[in-house]
Amino acid sequence: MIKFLTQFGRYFLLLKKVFSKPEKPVLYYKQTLREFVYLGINSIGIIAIISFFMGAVITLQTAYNTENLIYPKYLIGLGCRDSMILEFSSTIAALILAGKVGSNIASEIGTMRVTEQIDALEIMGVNSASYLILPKMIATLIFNPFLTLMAIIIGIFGGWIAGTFAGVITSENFIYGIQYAFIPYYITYSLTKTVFFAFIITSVSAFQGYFVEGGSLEVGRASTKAVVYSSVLILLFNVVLTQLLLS
Amino acid sequence: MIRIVKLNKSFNGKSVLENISVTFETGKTNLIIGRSGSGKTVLLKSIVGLHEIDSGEIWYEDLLFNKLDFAGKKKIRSEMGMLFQGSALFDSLTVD
Repeated sequence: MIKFLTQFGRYFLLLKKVFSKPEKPVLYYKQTLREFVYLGINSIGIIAIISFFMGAVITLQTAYNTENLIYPKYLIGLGCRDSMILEFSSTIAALILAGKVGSNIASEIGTMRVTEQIDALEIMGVNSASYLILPKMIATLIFNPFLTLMAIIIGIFGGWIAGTFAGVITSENFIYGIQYAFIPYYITYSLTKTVFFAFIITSVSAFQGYFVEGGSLEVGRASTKAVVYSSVLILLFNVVLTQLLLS
Repeated sequence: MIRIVKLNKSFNGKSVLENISVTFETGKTNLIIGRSGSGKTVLLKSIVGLHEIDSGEIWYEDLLFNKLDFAGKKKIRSEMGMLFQGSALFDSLTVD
């Protein structure tokens, strides 16, 4: 318990250091642009591929589970849309990003720690926590909502392709389904969750990397811990945020 | 002049430096030698503030370094140079 509280305290002290006033905003600006590419644009591919196939599978599974004639066919499109908006685009995509981006952040910062690069930054008078972590946070907090919107669009498109090619639904029914009883607030809900999840992924992974002690083996362990802890927290906050935002 | 007074530092309850007192005088070259794991690096990193010490005092002339805030430490560090054991090269960066 004491160890947990110690880690908890260290996490918040690190956040305090991260959010202290930047000394050279120009440096942060350049670093943030780089992180947009590394953490954001480089994640487009994996999110696009997984979203497409998830949309396709959701459509096919919904179709085979609603074969009864009492269910209107457009429910398949509606199910695909709501699944993509409510859960996949934010939560599942965040879990995927926890694996990709989280391990990347933890191993990058962890390697910098064990090779004394962070110490060197501190000696040069640079607030290493802020310089290394804040740009990553800004990049993911801004870019991840775009990834979420992209996941929704590509997922629904994947559902449409799979549904019409497999012959389980007509194009007209699917399009009617994705327009039927649409609640715009669901998008807000999804984007809100995404912002929280982006913060969890970046801060938890950076924390794991920043306090690594040892060598390459420990960096690997920190990377694994970053993914596991981020994923658990995402699932936990998913429940909390859903209750708060949809109740 | 750098003066260390009764410096103590431990990691996870294991004491690494115990009651270290030493004075590094201006203009003199000092050498710290010892076996591997005896605490040479920990002492140096404590002197430059990379490790938070458990107790003791680190004086730079008349300034108590270990009680200074980040800005105060930064000012003193601007007059220091440190060569790291593992080179600490920023291998992921390029020169613009």
